[in-house]
Amino acid sequence: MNNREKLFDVFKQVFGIHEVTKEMTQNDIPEWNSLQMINLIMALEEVFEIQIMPEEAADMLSVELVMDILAEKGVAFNAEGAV
Amino acid sequence: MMGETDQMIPLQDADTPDQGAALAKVWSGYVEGRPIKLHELLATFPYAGKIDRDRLTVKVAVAVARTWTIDNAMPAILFLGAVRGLDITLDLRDYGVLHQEVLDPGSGLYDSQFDYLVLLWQLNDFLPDMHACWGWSPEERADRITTAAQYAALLMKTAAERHKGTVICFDFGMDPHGPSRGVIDSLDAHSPSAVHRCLNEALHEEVIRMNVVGVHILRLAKLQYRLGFDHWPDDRLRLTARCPVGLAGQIAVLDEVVRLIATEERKPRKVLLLDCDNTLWGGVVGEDGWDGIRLDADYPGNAFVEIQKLILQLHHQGVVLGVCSKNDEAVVRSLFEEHPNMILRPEHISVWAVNWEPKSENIRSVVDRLSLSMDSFVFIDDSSVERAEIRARCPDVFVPEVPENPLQLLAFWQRFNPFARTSLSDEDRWRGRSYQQEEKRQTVRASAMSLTDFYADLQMRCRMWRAEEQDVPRIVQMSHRTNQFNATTIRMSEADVGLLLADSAVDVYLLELLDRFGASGVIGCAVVRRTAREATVEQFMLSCRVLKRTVENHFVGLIMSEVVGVADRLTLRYVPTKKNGLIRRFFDQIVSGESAAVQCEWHMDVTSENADNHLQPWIAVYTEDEEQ
Repeated sequence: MNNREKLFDVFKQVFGIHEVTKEMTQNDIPEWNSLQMINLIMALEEVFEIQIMPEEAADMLSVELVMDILAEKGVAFNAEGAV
Repeated sequence: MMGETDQMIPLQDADTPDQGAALAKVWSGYVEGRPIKLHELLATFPYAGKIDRDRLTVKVAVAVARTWTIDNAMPAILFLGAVRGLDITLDLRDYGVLHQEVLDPGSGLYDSQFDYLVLLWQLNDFLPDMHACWGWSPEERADRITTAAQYAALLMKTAAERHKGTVICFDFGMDPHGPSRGVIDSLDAHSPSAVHRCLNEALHEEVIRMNVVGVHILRLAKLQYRLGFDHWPDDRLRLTARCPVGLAGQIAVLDEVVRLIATEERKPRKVLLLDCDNTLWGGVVGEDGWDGIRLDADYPGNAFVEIQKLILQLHHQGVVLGVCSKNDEAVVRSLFEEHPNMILRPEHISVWAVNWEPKSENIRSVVDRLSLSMDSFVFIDDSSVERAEIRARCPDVFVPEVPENPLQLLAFWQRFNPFARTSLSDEDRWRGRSYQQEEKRQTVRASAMSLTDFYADLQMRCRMWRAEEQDVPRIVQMSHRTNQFNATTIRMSEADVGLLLADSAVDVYLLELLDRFGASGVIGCAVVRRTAREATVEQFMLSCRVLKRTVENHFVGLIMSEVVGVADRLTLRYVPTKKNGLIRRFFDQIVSGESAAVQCEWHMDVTSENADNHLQPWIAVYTEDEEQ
């Protein structure tokens, strides 16, 4: 499973949804409220073994922005060969 | 299934037919303490709304008043309940108004619909200036602690008096930041750790003083231990979401609450019926015999010893124990009575059903004899055939699956408790023994333990005898291995010892010791030569394992007792080495005032009174016959 698949799985698990795309924002996922945000952060930290600061969490407004912040922490999302 | 979680989680329109089983597996695993990743628990949360509550038999309504944010962990309570067969209806009260709600009779907290009222408070609610604790004077410290404990106890009392059901709350646990503050934190009475400790004690004292009833106070420290300090406090959640602990901590808090509710709601089982072979010991006693069964200090025998200790704890909690085994009753009885490594003894067993009849018939007759219903019984057997027979013919008896491997069987027993209850009366504690009349008086020890108490507590018993042929190897061994407490350090061969034993003017004494930790074996040896009216201790050795327990004094007393009437003087001989200064100091100490040391010899007057002075009241003497 590559990092993109792992990330999408976290979204599916935490929010109980079946489809995730890079373009989705907080507005597209009704369950993505401030409480579920905490669970999302914790799941991301555990799955990718990283730490996310509150300031960074505040910027996570879409799936793509989450990917950007994770990429800054060394989680690679290039389509080919990523693990 | 471990007795606590014997339920599946029923789901409405699940995505896959196995979804309910998968969810139950995750949450049972958590409840039973298997390592689980947090995100695996989180992944179940979206299914909370799909739990088919109609199929859960026990309905409970729970109100949670709090000064915590715990909202994002709340779906966990539904799973923790469902996996135990509980349908929990939850009212999560508004954040931060616990005190107001408890104190205001019209707040809605006391609506009769709630079976349980959970109070989740923080230390900060009662002691906001905890950070100043290092600077408190002793009076201030005592005052703060008492005031905080009284306030919390008063809230409990108020809630308990107004609420019709059970009130559940937590104490203050341990200081989650303590370990990082250096060793002074655990040494100083003014440290946050010490204040936490005193607060918890004060809380329990106030609850008793104010006669608060109907409240269960759970220990937060238990959860802190479980998660470890690295996973308990969570500064990010505390500072951004007003929750002092991480998600794992929140789930642990809810689990402890649900565990208590489940225990209150379930009718506890009362009787534990046990198979014998491969359940209480390894192997089959009827075939392998006493020597062949595994119940000893090595694996797998030691696993069965530990299993018996766990079962004995259940007995002391009031669980009635019975033996239900296809065996020759006399063989099994004698094993319970006499096998040295049995922990369970006949006095712990209230019911014996040892014969070759079908076990289900035995159980039926036991049920009649004890006038209990089938659903009070638990049956443990390593044989799947026997388990199936009981399940088919006595369906209300709880027959858990048990692992075969002794290590896994021990793990099973460590978690197995379908007898759990939320309180134990003294009557409960003694119920298991009520069939016998051998209650021993428990004495309460004073707060400080004296050295005398310590000696007495060791329950030492010893035996001294004149060495014979079969003791020669042990004497040779001692003469070579004993250095520190060896008065003359004469290394002897078997021939040397043989000469001593053959010498009619010489007695070789050996000393053996037992204490409450077990047998120490032969630990002392003395060689005594008798001449006209004088006895000389030419060699005196004691194993260093038993030093400083007054055994050495006792040994001298025993030797002197042996020569009363035949000698007037007992001489202790000493040859110094680099290692045996200890023994010179010992001789100095016991002979002082009697005679001065001259050229490495100490002289003592032999009288029975003097001998008695050296005997120690806390060391009992036994004979060879009593050894078993």
